Amino acid sequence: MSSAAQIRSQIEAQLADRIPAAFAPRAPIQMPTIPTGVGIIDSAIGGIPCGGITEVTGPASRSVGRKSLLVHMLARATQEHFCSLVDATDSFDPRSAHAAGVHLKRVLWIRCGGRNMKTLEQAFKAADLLLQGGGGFGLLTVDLTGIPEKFVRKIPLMTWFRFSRVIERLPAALVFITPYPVIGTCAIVTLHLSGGEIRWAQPAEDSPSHALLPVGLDFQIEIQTRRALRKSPQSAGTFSAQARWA
Amino acid sequence: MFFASIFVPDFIVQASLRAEPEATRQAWSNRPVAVLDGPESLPRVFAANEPARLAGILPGITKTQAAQCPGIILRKRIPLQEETAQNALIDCALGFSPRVESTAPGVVTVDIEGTERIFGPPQKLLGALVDSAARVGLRGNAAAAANCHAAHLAAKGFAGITVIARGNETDCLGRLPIEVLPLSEDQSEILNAWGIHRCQDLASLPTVPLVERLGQAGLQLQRLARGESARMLVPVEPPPKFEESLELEDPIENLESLGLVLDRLLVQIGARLAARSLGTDQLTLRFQLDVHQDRDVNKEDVKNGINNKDQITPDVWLRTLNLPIPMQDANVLLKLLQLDLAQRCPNAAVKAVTIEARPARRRLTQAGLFAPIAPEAEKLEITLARIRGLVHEEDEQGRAKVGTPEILPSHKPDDFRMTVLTSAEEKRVINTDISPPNSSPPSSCPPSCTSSSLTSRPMSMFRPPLPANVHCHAGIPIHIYFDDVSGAILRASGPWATSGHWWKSDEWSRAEWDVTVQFSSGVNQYRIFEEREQNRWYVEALYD
Repeated sequence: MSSAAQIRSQIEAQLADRIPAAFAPRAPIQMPTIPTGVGIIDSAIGGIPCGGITEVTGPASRSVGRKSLLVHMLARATQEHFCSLVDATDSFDPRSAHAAGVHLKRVLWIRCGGRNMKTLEQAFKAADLLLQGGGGFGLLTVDLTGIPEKFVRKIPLMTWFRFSRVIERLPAALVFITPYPVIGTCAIVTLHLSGGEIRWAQPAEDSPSHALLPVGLDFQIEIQTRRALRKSPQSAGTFSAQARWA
Repeated sequence: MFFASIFVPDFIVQASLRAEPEATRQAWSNRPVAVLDGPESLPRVFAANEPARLAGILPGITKTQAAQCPGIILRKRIPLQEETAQNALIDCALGFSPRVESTAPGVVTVDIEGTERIFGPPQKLLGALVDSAARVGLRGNAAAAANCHAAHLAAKGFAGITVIARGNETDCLGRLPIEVLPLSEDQSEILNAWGIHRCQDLASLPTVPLVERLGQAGLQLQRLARGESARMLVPVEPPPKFEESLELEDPIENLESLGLVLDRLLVQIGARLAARSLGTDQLTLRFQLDVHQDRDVNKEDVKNGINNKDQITPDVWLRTLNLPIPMQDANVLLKLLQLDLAQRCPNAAVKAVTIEARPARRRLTQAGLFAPIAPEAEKLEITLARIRGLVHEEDEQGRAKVGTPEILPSHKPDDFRMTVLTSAEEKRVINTDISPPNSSPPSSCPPSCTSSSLTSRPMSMFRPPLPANVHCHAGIPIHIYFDDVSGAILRASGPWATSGHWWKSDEWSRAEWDVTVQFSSGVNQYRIFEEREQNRWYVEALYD
């Protein structure tokens, strides 16, 4: 045995009662997950991980599937959990969510309403109060869609660190929907959304306008995970939202 | 039959001190206290406690005379306080039996026949009754006997807890002074002249000569002294509301001090609710404000931009707080009231506070084996009250900003209301129109689409809808400009005409379109509509 290996084994033996396997790689964290109902996410990472921040990003003012993914998550999560939604711009549509299978009676909806810095502060304070408020929610979502980027950029990094520390101790998943990637390494999973493509049910080009029916929207999704999750670091795929008649 | 009676000595004095904190009451227990009544110009002592009586403070003397007693505490008489104290005593008794009689101010008699299996022997029940009364700020004596009168006289005459065995009434009551009997002044003078000082002396008198001298009233007194007088209990209806009030000597101007007053009252209400195993689902707060008659509060509110709808008259401020579930914990109720007052507080100093709690049965639910873990109701309500303080309670349309959405059975777009989040599991409505979220993808889905598909296209709503300029060609939108962006409409699906509520003030009539708009940044799909009455276009939502 080489001297380095000997020294290593000696140190590990001495620290064994305090630090098991001091030089061995950290054991993967087995985080419970909440399935999203989106196959590509569930097959890649098992769903939204509890005890960490998940960031969903997509370009502002674009049909990229942020709300569709949110509704997907709520539809699955409300089957087993109470959920909360801090809606910074008051843009959640309960009717389409109900049609998508969201159990609305298990959703606490906080409608901040507005597109300014004050609204952003309200959303963060409300999320903070929910996190500190004794738990009971399996999925906490904060939707910052519609808040101008200049305000979102002003969120200090310390805020994300604090949220990630708080959620670590809770058996719940915390999801932020942001107009661009802003959470950085504090997010355990980042879902990049892009490319909403509209599908039309069109019998013919010269059909009257009332015969043109949009049947669905297909979205591109790219999944980035941190090392702690021990999943494949990157994967991509699509998911869709269909019209009810499709 | 077996009856228990609780007697509160110096009831008027105790009622006036009930709202004080427990520590203050303890500290004042040996100090002379007198309650004043009468016109403001010449108040007189109406009632006094034992130390005050020993110091010579007797009912009828003036305030000036009473104030000469060193260390005396003078309180103004408030009849409402006596009424609420009596109700509190009844509430305590109702915790032990449904048959309760409000015998006299400070005296309550309870039918305790058959309660041994629940509360144990009478001695134990009386102890619990006295403890329960102490929790609502009333210290009393309790006694149990086979008839109402005997129980009442024993509670009045003996300190602490007394249980009179059946058939032993005469011996037990015989030791009491005749002052415990309801004697008139004439009767008292006659009996004193005869040398009758104890009940046993009266009980041993021959009946016929006694009736010859004192009439039927004398016979009644002798029966009382022997513990033989029997009567029916007259049960009272439980008080329909729990009300506590406090009139302040100096008006309060800040919320911190007001919180202390509210705390005292809520502790009393909480104890009364606990005594009857009830909670409250509605708290009504009434403040009597100290408003000078020359001051026009309404004008000041308009000037200061305050919309104080809780002020029903210039000097009365009323606020009702509805609670999602019946609650009993005084700390939780206090926190909710404080958070509510922080949002809307009266615009003048408060000189009297009344809290009324509507009783409601506490929810007795056991968490279902397969039901999800719900947030703890009391903690959640405090959290939501804090959040309401942040985001305000209602939007422009009067819908709550915090709660659970409930879709209304209406064709009106974006028609919903907000309800309270409850953990009670309700029968889930299964929408047969939609397939489960993890249903297999449709055949039109591209091969890469391995996920499930939502049978709905979620929208990102604009509340209120964004005004837009729309150019049409042959009735079909071809170009749109809104929110400082413009784009060509590639495809438009519609129009879908909807209208309704023509019989109400909020009538709507519109033509909806689903449009695909080409911007420089990409292609988006929106729902737009034309308001037919005004010929104006709006963007309602982004398909997202």
